[in-house]
This record gives sequence, C-alpha cells and structure tokens, in this order.
Amino acid sequence: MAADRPRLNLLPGWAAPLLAAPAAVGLALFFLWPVGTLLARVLEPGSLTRTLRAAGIGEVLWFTLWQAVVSTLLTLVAGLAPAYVLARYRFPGRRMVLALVTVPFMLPTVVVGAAFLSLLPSSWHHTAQAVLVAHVYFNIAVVVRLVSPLWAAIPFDITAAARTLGASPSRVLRHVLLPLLRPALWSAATVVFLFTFTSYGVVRLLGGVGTTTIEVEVARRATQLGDVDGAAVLSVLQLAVLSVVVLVASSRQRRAAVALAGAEFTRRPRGRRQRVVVAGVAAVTTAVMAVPLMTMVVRSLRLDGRWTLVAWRTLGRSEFRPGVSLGVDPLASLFVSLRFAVLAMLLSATVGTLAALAIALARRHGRLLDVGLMLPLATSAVTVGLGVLITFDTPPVDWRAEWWLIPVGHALVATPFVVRALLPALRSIPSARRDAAATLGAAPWRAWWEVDVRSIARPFVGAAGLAAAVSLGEFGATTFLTRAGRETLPIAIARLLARAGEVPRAQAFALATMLMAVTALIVAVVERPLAGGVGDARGA
Amino acid sequence: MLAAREVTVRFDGRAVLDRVSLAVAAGEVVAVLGPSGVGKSTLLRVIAGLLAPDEGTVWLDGVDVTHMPAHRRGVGLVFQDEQLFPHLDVAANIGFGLRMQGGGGRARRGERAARVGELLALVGLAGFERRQVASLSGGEAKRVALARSLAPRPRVLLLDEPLTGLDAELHQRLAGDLATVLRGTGTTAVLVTHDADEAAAIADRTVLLAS
Repeated sequence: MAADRPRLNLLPGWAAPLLAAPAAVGLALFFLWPVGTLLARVLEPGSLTRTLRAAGIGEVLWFTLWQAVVSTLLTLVAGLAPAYVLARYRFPGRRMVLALVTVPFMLPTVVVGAAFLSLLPSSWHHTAQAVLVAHVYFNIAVVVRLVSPLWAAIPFDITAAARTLGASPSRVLRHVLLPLLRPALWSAATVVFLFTFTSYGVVRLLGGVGTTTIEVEVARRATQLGDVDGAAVLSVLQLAVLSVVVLVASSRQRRAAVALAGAEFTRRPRGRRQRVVVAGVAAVTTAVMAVPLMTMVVRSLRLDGRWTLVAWRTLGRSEFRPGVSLGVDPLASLFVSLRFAVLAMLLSATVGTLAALAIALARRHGRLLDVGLMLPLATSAVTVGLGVLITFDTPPVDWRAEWWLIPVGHALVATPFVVRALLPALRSIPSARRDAAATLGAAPWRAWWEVDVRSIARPFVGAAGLAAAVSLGEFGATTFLTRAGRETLPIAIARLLARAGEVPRAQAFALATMLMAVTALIVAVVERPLAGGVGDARGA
Repeated sequence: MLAAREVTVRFDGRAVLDRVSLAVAAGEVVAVLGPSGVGKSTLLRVIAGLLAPDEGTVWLDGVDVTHMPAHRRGVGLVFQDEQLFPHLDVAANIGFGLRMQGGGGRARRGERAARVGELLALVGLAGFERRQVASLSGGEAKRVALARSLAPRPRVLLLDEPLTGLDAELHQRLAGDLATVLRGTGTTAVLVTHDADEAAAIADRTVLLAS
C-alpha cells in the first residue's frame, strides 16, 4: 500500500500551501467573511426577536418545512417504481430511461420552474401543488440514482426465501426489501429534504403568497423590501436547521449500513406480466420526464393558438411593443451568461486544480481545505449572495456593483465540483506507473506530463464543463449581485415570466429552451470524459 | 402427500423440464439425483410456487396448488446459498416465518422465542440467537437456513444442494445431522443433489432426473 501512495515527485512538500493559497484566500474572502458578517448582523440585540415576530414569518417557516417533508415523501414514493425497474431488469432503452430520469436534476431550477409553468393549468400557478409536483420531478433522479444500485445488489432469492416462509408480496416489501434499502432511502431522503427545504428557483417561479420558502423570503426581504436584518435572521435560521439535519442524517447513516455482496442481480423480464410491468414503468417514466420540457419548447413556438417564431425572433429586442420596454434584453442575457460561465469555469478550474493538487499532497491538512471548499455548496446560494451583498458595501471593498462579483460567486459554488472530480484521479495514480515511465527513458518532467497530466486530463474536462453548467444555471446568489444591463439567463427568464402578456411568456420559454439546450450540450460532452475517467481510475 | 404431474418448464422456448413427475409420501425423504443443468432446482421452484410451470400440475394433500402463490403453500425451501436476511440477527431469521404466520402480540413473541431456541438446539447452535448473520461460518449459516425453513412447520421441506461447497469432514457431519433432524421432526422432504453418496446418506429413496 505504502509503495502505491501517490507521490507527486516533482512537487516538494512546501509547495502545498502555495497551491492551496488561491483557494484558501478566495474561500476566506468570499465565503467565510460574508457568512461571518451575516452572523454578526443577527447577533445584534433585538434583531432576532423583531424578525420572528414580524407578520407572515410563521407562515413562511411552516410552508418551508411541510412542503420539504411532503416533497421528500412524494419523491421517495414516485422514485421507487423506476428505481426498481432500472435496478432489476435489462431491457432495450434502459440507458435512455436512466439518462432521461437524470436530466431534470442537471438542468437549472429556473428551466424546471418554467417547464411547469408551461405545463400546468394557470389555476395551478403559484400554488403549493405546483411546487410539490416540480420538486418531485426535479429530485426523482436522486432517489433513482441512490436506490437503484443498492436494489440491484439484493439477490432475487432473498425475496424468494421470504415468500417460501409465508410472506405475502406486501410483507416482502415491508419486512425484507425496505429494511435492506434503508441506507439508500435515508440518504436519498436527506438529500431531497435539503434540496427542497432550500428550494429557490422552483419556488420563485411556481410559489406565491403563502407558498414561499425561507430562501425566497430572504431574497424578497433583502432585494425588494430592504429588510436586510430580517433576511439575515432568516438565512441564519435556515443554516441552523440545515446543520442539524446534516448531523442527524450522518449519524443515522453510520448505523444503517447493511453488508450486501457486491454482485449485481439483474435479468431480462420473463413472462408476460414482467414484460408489461417493465414496459409500462419505462413508458410512463419517459413520458413524465419528457412532457414538461417538450411542452415548454412547444409553448415558445405558439402565440394566440398559432405556430409562430415571433417569440424567438423578438428575443433581440428589449421592447415587446414599440415604446413598451421589457426591462431586460433577452438575447443579451444569453451572451452575459456565456461570458460569466467561461470566466467562472476558468477561475474554478484553475483554483480547483491547484487546490486538488494541494489536498492530495498535504494529506492531513488537505482534509481541512477539502471540507472548507464544500461549505459554499452546503450553505444555500441565497445565503452566500446575501452575505456578499452586505459585506462588500463599504470602501475599500465596495464591490457590490462590480460585474466580476457574479463569476466569482459562481466559481465559489463550482470549485468543489472540480476538486471532487480531480481528487480520485490524482489519488489513484500509482507512483509505479511514473517509475515505469522513468525506466523507459522519460525525464522527470516528461514522466509527470505523460502520467499525471494525462491521467487527470479527462476528469479535468468533465469538471470544467460541470463548472460551466453550474454557472449557467446559478440563480440564488446571482439574484443579489445582478445589476441592470447584465442580467444572466436565469434572471432574464424570471423577469420575463413575472410580466403579464403572452409574448414575454413565450420569450421566457424560448430563453429557457436555449438554457436547457446549452446545459444539455455541456452535460452530454462532459459525461463521456467523466465516465472514461472513472474507468481509467479503476483500471489503475 | 406431494405430487408433481407432467411438469414442463420452458425458458426461451427450450424445455428445462419436460413432463417430469414426482410423488412423495408423508414423512418420506426423497433425493432427486442428477447432473447439474437438468432442472433439479427448477423442479423445486415449481413445487415451492416460485415459478409457474408451462404445463403440468402440483398437488399437496390431494389439492391442486399449481396456481397457489408461494406464501400460502406452506412449502419450505432451503437455498443452496442460504439467502439469510442480512439485516436480521439469527433469532429474527429463524423467527421470520413464525412472524409471517401470526400477529405480533406479546404472548406470540414469547412463543416465538421458545420455538427459535428449540430449533437452534435442534441444529446444534444453542445460544446463537443474537449473532449477526455476517459473522456465521459456512456450516453455521447452513444450519441456520435449515432451522429457519423448519420453524413454521412446512408441509414439505425442499432442500437445494444443501451441502454443496462444504469441506469433506463438515459435509459428512452435516449430512448425518440433516438426516437425524428430518427423521426426528418427521418432515416430508425433497432433497436435490448431484452427489449419490449424499443422497444415500440422507434419503429414504433416490430418484434420477436425466435430461
């Protein structure tokens, strides 16, 4: 084992702090300081009680909690059938169904929100049902992706054994399958709860009066009501709830683990009944996943009951009727988004790669940086945005209106993805391979290039693409940092959807279609190198 | 007691079992002997109700049970690879069938614990109640699997290669114990094996299943 320890032979130990410096400074400046400021704001006397007594706060807290619990339960129930079929059966189109289930989760929340606005009847808009349905749609991937692999590891004969002992199908489920799936069900429930509790984009678009989460209320208070203290209290309250949930969940996790052998038990559907079940679940899943997005595309092409390209053609104009301003330039927002995405990608790829090298090199202290970099992800985007807004408001750091704050914020959220993607690859490079290259006549730098750089090239591409996708879809933090004239796509979509009239709505669907297409393209390009990278790591 | 009549099972058009018949009297232990791949396990699955035959019928006590689901048949099956429940301890594994039969009342629980203790003693593992399944040796796991299948007092007990994969000494000892347990409990049993000596050591009668 010791011989296989990754040894970055060109880099001496003292290089680690240098490599870690950009990430550490960025983290301290743009995350720890703002969140610290936020906490200090809340600790000011009177601020807490004043906010909690304010009208409507109880309603917000209650809705946030119950919609998260109900969304989680519904998602678990809805995810079980596709998880079962994808885990247990091999059938043509299986990979397509799996990919389709994963798509919504990769998409920006604004796109999912827009899709459900296009799908649901207007009587459902801004209701709790709309929020719940969209949450189930968005998070079903979490359940399928976490539960399916474990389900596939449960031997067929273990349920057969239960049946010969007198267990009816429902009792097999209750006494054997669910207990065996419990670890995956718990982690899925935790993740879905965290996502729906802090849901912003979906609730911004689909919620309304009385159906608002803490996250949306924080943004409303800070950006519309000017009640920064109230917003700070709420976001810190949310942070406290999140920490408790994470702590409880991780302690449960440790207890719930059950040993199953690593084998996979999957088969072709046998007999009429199984074929009907598999085909039915696959067809329903495909339809449910595809229909909202397709409706959105169709609605971007229809006005007054006719097919038309008007919405798409007028994207370049900021007036939808002569003299009536949209307040946002739709097409320009695409270029703003692309520019920010490229910057955020370059920034997070550079800083993240250096940090990953430092973490791999420094071992013990590396763990601290690793966890630290995950924090912005675990904290909600709105909290980060609010913290940045109230921290950088006085000279010499009066940066609130600086355009570069947006890509920096995006990079903060994207960097952990880069580190996560690179670390396994870096750690799995056996030094023997480098030695082999040396014995074949490669100079040290050459060996480093041939072995190390080539090993992480593919995960690097994947990580960079992911960072770009994160930036394109980022909505929560951007809400606080956006300024007139440089709206990003998600901001522009939300603005257009807030306007009355058919044309802005169709334009919003057109923009959301574009955002979906760009994200899907990136994910499709990126999925391959990522998959290849995993295979490589296993091969080594 | 148990009869399989003209049972045919086809997988993808290929007949795995072709009009196979078997009759077992009450209290009798019958060994089904044959090379691997002739459908011995498939026959057991049909009798247990885990697999519906394409043709033919299964009878228990003069009743046609061909279409009765596995959990109502009262036919126990000891799997070749035990298939113990990894999330339950030894006592809960053995008590599983009893739990499926009755409610969860307090009196029932006491009864169940007594029966579990009795069965553990029967298979030579007294005191193993709280052991985790993952900590059992190969031979111990086989004994627990046998006890688990016997616990709900099945009308017929099926054993699928119950001694395969054990070393010679353990194999011999378990074969003797198995014969004693089946006789002692008066269990009607069908044992599937590819080992003629094993069949002779345990069963009253051996039948051949050829392809």
